[in-house]
Amino acid sequence: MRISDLFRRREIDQRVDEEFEFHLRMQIEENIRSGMNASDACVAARRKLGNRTQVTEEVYRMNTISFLEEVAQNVRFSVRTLRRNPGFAMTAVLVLALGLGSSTAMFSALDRILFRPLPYADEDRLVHFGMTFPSFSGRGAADSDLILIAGSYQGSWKPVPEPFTAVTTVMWGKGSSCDVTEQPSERLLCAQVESNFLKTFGVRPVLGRDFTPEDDVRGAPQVAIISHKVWTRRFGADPGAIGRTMDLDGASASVIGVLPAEFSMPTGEADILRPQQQYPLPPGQLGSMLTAFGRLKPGVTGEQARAAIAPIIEANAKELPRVGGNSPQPRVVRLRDHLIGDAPRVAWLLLGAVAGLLLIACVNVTNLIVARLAARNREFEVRAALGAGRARLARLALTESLMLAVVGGTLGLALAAGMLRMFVQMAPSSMREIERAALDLRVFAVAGALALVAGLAVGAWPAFSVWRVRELQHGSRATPAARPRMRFALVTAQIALTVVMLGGSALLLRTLWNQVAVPLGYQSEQVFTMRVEPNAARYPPSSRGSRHALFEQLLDRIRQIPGTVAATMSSDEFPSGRHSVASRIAVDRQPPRDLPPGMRLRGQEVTPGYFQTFRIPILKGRAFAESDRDGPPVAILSESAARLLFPGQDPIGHTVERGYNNTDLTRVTRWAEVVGVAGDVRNVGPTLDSDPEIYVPAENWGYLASYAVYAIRTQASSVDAAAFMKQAVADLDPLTPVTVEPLDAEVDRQTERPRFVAWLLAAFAGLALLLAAAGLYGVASYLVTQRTRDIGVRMALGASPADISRQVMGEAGRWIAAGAVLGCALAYVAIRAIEAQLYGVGSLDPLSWIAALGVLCGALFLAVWRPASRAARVDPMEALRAD
Amino acid sequence: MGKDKAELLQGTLDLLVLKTVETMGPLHGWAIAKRIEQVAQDLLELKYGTLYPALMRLEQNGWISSEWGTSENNRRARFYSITKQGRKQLALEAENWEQMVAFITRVLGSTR
Repeated sequence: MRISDLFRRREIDQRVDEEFEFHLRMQIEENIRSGMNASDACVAARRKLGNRTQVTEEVYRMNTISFLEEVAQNVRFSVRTLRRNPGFAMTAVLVLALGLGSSTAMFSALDRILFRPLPYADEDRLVHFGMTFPSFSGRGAADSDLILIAGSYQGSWKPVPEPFTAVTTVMWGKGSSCDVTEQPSERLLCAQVESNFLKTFGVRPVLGRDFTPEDDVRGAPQVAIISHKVWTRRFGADPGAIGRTMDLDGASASVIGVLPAEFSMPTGEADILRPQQQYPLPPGQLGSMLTAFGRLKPGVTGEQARAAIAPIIEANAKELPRVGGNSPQPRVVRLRDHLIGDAPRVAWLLLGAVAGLLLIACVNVTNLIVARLAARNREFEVRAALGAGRARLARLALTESLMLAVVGGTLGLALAAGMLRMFVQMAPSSMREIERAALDLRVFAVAGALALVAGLAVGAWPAFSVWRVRELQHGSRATPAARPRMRFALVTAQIALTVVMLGGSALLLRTLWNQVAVPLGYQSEQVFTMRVEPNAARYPPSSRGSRHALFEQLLDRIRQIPGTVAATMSSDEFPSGRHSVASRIAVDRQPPRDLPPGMRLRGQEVTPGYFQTFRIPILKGRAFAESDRDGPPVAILSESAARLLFPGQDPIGHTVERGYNNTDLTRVTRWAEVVGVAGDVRNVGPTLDSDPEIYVPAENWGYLASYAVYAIRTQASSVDAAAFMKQAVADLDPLTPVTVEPLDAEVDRQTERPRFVAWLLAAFAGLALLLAAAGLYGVASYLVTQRTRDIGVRMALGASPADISRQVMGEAGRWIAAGAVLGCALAYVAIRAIEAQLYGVGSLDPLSWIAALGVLCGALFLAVWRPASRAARVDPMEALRAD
Repeated sequence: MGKDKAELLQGTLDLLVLKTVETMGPLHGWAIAKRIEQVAQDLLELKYGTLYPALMRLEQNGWISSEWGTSENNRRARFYSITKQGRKQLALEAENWEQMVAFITRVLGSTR
């Protein structure tokens, strides 16, 4: 039976030979003793012993083939038994498929966040580093504010300082989009990288070559490495694409390489990589901001790296003009943390929930099998009596549950494919790794392993109890009394797990409710926004004329869209764009002063329709008028800005500093009079306090800004509004791509993560509850059937139907209570995992837990209702006659 | 020759072999066969082809162990002895057998 016996043929051969020989000799001797002559004795002995080869063969079969044969036999047998009980088999398979399918889909969705290495060589040594400014890094700040300055980059970071082995940069912000200016024209995402960029990340182009230092010199010929997608889309995946040219932003660049399909840019997305070509910088220029990445020497910690770069950052900072109140701080973040952020927390939570569901599914199926086992006890006893070994029977029982798991797992895969599609659609943008999830080999392997584990888990108890079968029992009560208790214990375990999941989802749903219910300070319905970024080559910045004209004309057109109630153009995305922030400001003709640490002031240039469009209330003073755009400078403060800058005073009539004069780009201090105070807008996120904001009228738009954001409040339908806005842009410049989005979508996005987590958890908890209720129903029905006779006797002795159903309910109630108590204890420990996700509700929130327990008890009592009422309808005469 | 001799009921050979090696101590295959035939008073014939695979199987299950030794007539032979596990199994199978007999007796009794 042992697999190793498969390889011991020779040894067996030899032993069989020797034994045969011995046996033969003994037989011959005996024959001679009984009077035969030598040759007769020999022949007779041989005849008696039979064919030696046959014996050897039998020993082989026993040793080897029988193992495989038994498996096949068990499988055949299981298929037959299961086919004879389609109800049981279907239920078990479906329950397992549900558990395995959800687990597989969840694993696949979260794999990239939790387990799969980033697609870079030795990713654990890659870091994102740079300097961060206190005014940037307040609440809601991202690591994308971690920068280096090109002006000091080459001098300080090349050659690479200790403890790095390589340092590389991508140009920050600028150049994130570029236009293909040949047909078919399209807007792509371009990243401008240093020539060692791909090398540092351990990525090689699949076709063509990498950048060389010669490519990355100011004035060098334009070259580009294109993404696999662009290669497929624009060049039909033709290897001849290398050496061809593409017109990018009006200049011809030759394609020198193609990125691997699985490549992903650490700064977001990129269709095209181009060299920065900014060095040598013209004298006196700071150059652009850079996003820097480094590869550390093995074994270097982030803290060590931070300490090492601190002096360099400090020296770099000295060369900068004073940008904020405080000096920049060095920071080093592991690339993985930078890219994935705090998503793993949520991911573990979801994985825990789905594991709970799988566990409940397994317990449920175990329960089904145990129930069936009770009925099959007899069969196993007879088998045992007829000589089937206990191990053999246990293996048979295990084969059956493994088969259920395999079929369930296969069905689960199909289910997982569907679920995964749903997850991907629901996935919050802060977990963008989910979008790339797919059912690949890795996921199949995990799904297989899960099915195997589930099969073993489900089969363990039955196999064990079969192992214990040894006596032939007889009499009318074939089932040992211990069985229902075992089944109830299993149901209790399911209930306990369900309590945890229900409680967790109740808390998360309250969190979601709290977040959605936060007054945002504006009204998002019927508002549509659109960001317009004209091609930089055709609309050059810093020149009077075309860009400015485009922006203004577009505003006029948008105002005229039918159904428009109000329209506005502003410098930044509503509500959370971070185009302009300051940690320093001057008021009332005083010298500038620093804001309290961690505070930042947002500046926003808007046209007069702004407050009307977003329905932001003007609390004091007035809104902007058309005449403010070219009159004396004025400003409107948000409520919190008024409190911050003029505490305890009426801000109207005071003045605040207005920075650059957009017309000639010189910094002249102009003093804007505060004419109004507007309500606060949740501009950091729905759950965080608002950043104070200063609004000024937009002047001479387009001299500095590369884009403008338009918004309209409309009475038209969303389809019409979007079409009209797009048409307005296309009328002026058909080549500028735009996307129109309802503001509601942006609002939804702010709560998409709590929504994702809450709905998923609630769905899992609902399924768990369903399974637990089904389990309880099964056990209770079984119990009632078992006790029909007892019930009959009790009724004959005068118990009323209500007494009987009360007794059944009472018994089930005890098990439910036990499960609930156990569940609460379990939850008390497990709920810590959820705490970080909560908002406006404590993890011990009584309402949530009472609601969870209420739903639980409601569903479970509903499940026992039918068995209980069936018990009450037992006819005593029939019940007593039945035996 | 063996027409009136009983065929072995499946599963009982194990019981017979185990019992034999338990009471007689280490024996070689030939002696085991002889002993069983002797006790059965020629009601049963134990063929080499039946016995030998059974010995292998019992040994693989860990119920008997074997080692090479020298037979009474100075031949090299393999001697089988019962293991601790084998004794347990023997007790179990003996019990099973008794129940089986009781069961069959009852079945025969009730259908008669």
